[in-house]
Amino acid sequence: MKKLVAIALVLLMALGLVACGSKKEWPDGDIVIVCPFKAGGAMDQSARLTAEYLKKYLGVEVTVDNIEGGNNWVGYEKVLTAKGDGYLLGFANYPGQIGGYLNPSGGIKRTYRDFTNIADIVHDPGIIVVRPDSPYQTLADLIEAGKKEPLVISTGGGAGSDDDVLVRLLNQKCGTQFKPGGNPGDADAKTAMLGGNVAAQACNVSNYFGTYKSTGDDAVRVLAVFDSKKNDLMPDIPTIDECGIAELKGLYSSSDRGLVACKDLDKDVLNKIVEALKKAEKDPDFIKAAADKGMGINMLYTDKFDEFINGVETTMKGMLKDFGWE
Amino acid sequence: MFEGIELAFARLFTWDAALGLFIGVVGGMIIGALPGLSATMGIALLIPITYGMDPTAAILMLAAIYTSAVYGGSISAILIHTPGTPSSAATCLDGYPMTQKGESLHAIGLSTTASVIGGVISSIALLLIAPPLARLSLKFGSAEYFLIAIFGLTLIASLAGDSMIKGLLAGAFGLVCGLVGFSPDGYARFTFGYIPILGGIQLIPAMIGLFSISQVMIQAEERGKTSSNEKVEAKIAGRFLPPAKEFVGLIPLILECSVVGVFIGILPGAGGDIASWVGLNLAKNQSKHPEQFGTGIPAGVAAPEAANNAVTGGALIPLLTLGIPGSSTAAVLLGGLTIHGLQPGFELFTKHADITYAVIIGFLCANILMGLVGWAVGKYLTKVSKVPIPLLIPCIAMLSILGSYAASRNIADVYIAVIFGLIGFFMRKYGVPVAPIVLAMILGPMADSHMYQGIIQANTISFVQYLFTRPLSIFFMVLIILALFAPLLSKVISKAYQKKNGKMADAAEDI
Repeated sequence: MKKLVAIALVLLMALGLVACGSKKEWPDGDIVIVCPFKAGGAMDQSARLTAEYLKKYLGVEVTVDNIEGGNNWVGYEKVLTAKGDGYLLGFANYPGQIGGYLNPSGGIKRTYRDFTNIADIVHDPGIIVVRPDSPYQTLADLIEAGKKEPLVISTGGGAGSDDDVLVRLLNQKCGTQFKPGGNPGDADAKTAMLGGNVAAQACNVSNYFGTYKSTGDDAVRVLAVFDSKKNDLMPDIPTIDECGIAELKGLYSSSDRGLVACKDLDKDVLNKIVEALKKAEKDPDFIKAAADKGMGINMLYTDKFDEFINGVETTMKGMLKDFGWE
Repeated sequence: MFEGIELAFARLFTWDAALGLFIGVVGGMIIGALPGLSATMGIALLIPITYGMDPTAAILMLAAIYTSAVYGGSISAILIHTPGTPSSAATCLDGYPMTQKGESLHAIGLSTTASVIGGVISSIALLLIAPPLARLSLKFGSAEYFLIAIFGLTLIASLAGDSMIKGLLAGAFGLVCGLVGFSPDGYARFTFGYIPILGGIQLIPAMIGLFSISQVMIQAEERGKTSSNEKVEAKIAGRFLPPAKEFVGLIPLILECSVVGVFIGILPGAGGDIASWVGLNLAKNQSKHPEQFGTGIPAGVAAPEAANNAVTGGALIPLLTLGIPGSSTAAVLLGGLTIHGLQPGFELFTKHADITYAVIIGFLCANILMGLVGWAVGKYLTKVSKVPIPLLIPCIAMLSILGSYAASRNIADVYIAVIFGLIGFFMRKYGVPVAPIVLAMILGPMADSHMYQGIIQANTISFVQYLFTRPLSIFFMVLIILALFAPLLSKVISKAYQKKNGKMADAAEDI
């Protein structure tokens, strides 16, 4: 009996050798996407949707691991220090990540260049909304009023959040005196706007896509979508280019969420992930699932993605003094 | 008023939710009956376990544990003269004498009936008060939220128990902990370059440390000394359901205590322990024979038990509508809500109305189920308190560490739990209450953030001027001034009360 066991063990070990010898194609194991945000939020939903369709097109289990803390940098650090074998990826948001390291008091020494930026997946354009009984019928009305007196626009995040940047950009372009509200999240920003404590709210399509036509307690008027094209989720709202304000032509703002990995990610792996995402991009199920959750999909791959992030970073670097980050 | 309530039933009548409800009721009763395990601690430990559950089932389970543990605590109080939770300390006074008189089952029956009535009334209050309050909260701007947070903070002094200085000390420590991390205007405070706490000290690990790990250390220290486990087991005797005549006589008292309990629950931080003493006091004041209290009379069991269970639903009212916990157990529940992405406020009653109403209606069901389960197995619950503490301690310690890591998968949170465990241990050893820390850690950042937003919203005028231009703000300022004088008043009352009834037991804090 003992002999038999011994033979069996030797055979098993031999099998192990076989596995070591042959180089298996990536992926042959589970992939983990680190989401540095808590489960249930917008980031988490985007990461989970991406994981679902990576699984579909890569044929292996893809799970999302929510690692919070350190203003998201605990999770980002986990991604940055992963091996380049492509089994640990990460989800990042912009401009949140950029604000995270541009603010000197946080002490973050990393930049977006320390990541392999695989693909920008979710693109959530900025919007400006007011109460339905607001005197500002159009964005032009609001801008005119903002030139005459300092008005507060609530924002779902402090200095460096996309909403905050949008308000500051309006001031830069039109010479208005808007004050960003410094609200810690979209819920506070919405309460301030609905309660009439501020003139308007800067937020994103995903915040109001389902309710912007409601007539109940949470009815709002959307003034403009800050994007180059009409938004599928708010087809009747004018884009900023259609608002007829010359100074604001081409002022686009958004919150973007994408897939990233560590710097030395294997090139073959990168190509395979990009291929899988390109298939997902055309998958009607993926498009529908994203739309249901209010996620606009606008895929930008590798170099294009880097270019996009660089653009956001440049804009923000020009505002350091404004943010108080100098 | 109840938009979305019809969807709640679909969420409530699922196997997940039913199972969560049942486990919550039975588990809560066991947690409550175990001396040394309180509702607050049980919920702090179990939140991470709910992580993968459906939000309705998860919150329902936690809420059911809350009410059921408060009830379960009375059983140990009655049978072995040891309050299972601090909320039942008052029940000991008459509950145990009833057991000595051979009426133990009668006392448990009274406690069950009173707890169910208290709990049901509080659930109805929750259902009726929370939705309009949430709607009213839409009228609140940052100025009002700032003042509400300050109002909650002023109550720390009045909740401090024996020593106001110690309570204020704990509150101030909590405020400092709440400052850690990014300030509302984006400056990192007290992080000392340690990146994992840039986002602040997380509530769940801090609470696990303060309530669970410190308790583990206290129990471990008491090893070898006589513990409740060795107390003689009481004979189960008497009839469970109170005689009709007695019950009818007690109804007005039970109802009154329930209403008072709901109000105490709504007050930030005041929990079941305070309510049970107030309930007992109320019963005494109304009785024609106040001298009989302490000898084992039914009113002495029914009054505190109705009041402490009525607190549970009351404490959820400000929690769900304003994000302000009505008791320290509710503070822990706040952690449970947020890990499921449920931010307290108006949206709980619009966007998440299905979940919220399912939880509220489920909470009502939990209170009824609690009575049925208590009727069926209540008397056997003393067996639970026979679980040897040396077996229990390592399990709780392990769950504490796992739980503090599981919520956000950040190892720094485990360090926080252990550090807060040590802090909690020494504080409790020196009689400093730990509940104010948690309250201050929630209310401090709330005041901080809303003051910052308020200063911006004040726009061209100063913040103080802004406060005086808003009628609601003026109302809250008056409330704060009243609250500041409340401790003085309560001191006088409790002095008089203690003179009459001896020391107020060591139920200074609701943990």
